[in-house]
Amino acid sequence: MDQTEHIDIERLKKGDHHEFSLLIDLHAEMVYNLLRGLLRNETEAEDLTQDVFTTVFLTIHQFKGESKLSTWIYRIAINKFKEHVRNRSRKKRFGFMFSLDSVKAPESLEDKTPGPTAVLENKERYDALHAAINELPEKQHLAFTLFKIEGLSQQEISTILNLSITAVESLIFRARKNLQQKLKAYYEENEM
Amino acid sequence: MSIDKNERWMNEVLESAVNSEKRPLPEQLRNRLLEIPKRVENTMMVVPKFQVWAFAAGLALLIAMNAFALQKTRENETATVEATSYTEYFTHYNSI
Repeated sequence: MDQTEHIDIERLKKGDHHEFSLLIDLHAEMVYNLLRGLLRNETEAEDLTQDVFTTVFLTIHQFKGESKLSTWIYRIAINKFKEHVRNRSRKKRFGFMFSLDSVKAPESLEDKTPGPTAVLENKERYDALHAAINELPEKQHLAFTLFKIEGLSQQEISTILNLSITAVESLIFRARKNLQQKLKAYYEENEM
Repeated sequence: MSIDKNERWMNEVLESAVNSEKRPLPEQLRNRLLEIPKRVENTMMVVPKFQVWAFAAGLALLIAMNAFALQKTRENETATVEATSYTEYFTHYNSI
């Protein structure tokens, strides 16, 4: 059963605090991890998660129940991410520096991998893959992340990105091809 | 290098990354999120809804009055011009 069914949407629409805290417990982790994966920056992911749930609280009356609540929240998160990236590149154009330090592998990867060599190897692979994913065009980046990392269905992705299922399939296919090309050099180097 | 091998390698790295990347929600962020309803309500309480509506109604009234006044002025101007032309047209009768 979908966990969202535990939430009383009507009470949520009336601003019920208890229902909202239930919503946080069910969906905040998903949004936070999605944004961490997309942004590769802890602080920005936290701030944007807060922004997403403020929007959810303010606009929940617009939720018509035509899709799953989680899909609707994903959609808000993706729109916030796009907006954030646009603002960031605008700021960058005006001379703000975006620190390269923010692009790093999560600490938990290191926590779970035994041995310093394995840690470095995994971190390197992880960084190479994520750098390649981040270089993908925005739509391919989002479709691939939602499909491969978030494990969403193509149907859900099409609702979130407001595209047809065929378009989503094509984006994922092109993302795969692009990633294979981008990672070719890295893979060959490490295979030897 | 075969494409299949590359694809398999990519999937392996992705799988390990996906599993290791998922993190529980930090407690301080959870608390920040739980504060949202209170914060939003407080912000809304700073400016009462009545005041917002009263201001909007006042503004609408002002615009409507301006539009009405403008329309009346135009009507008067047209009437004056028409009256002047009419009078001027028949001025030659004055001498008769």
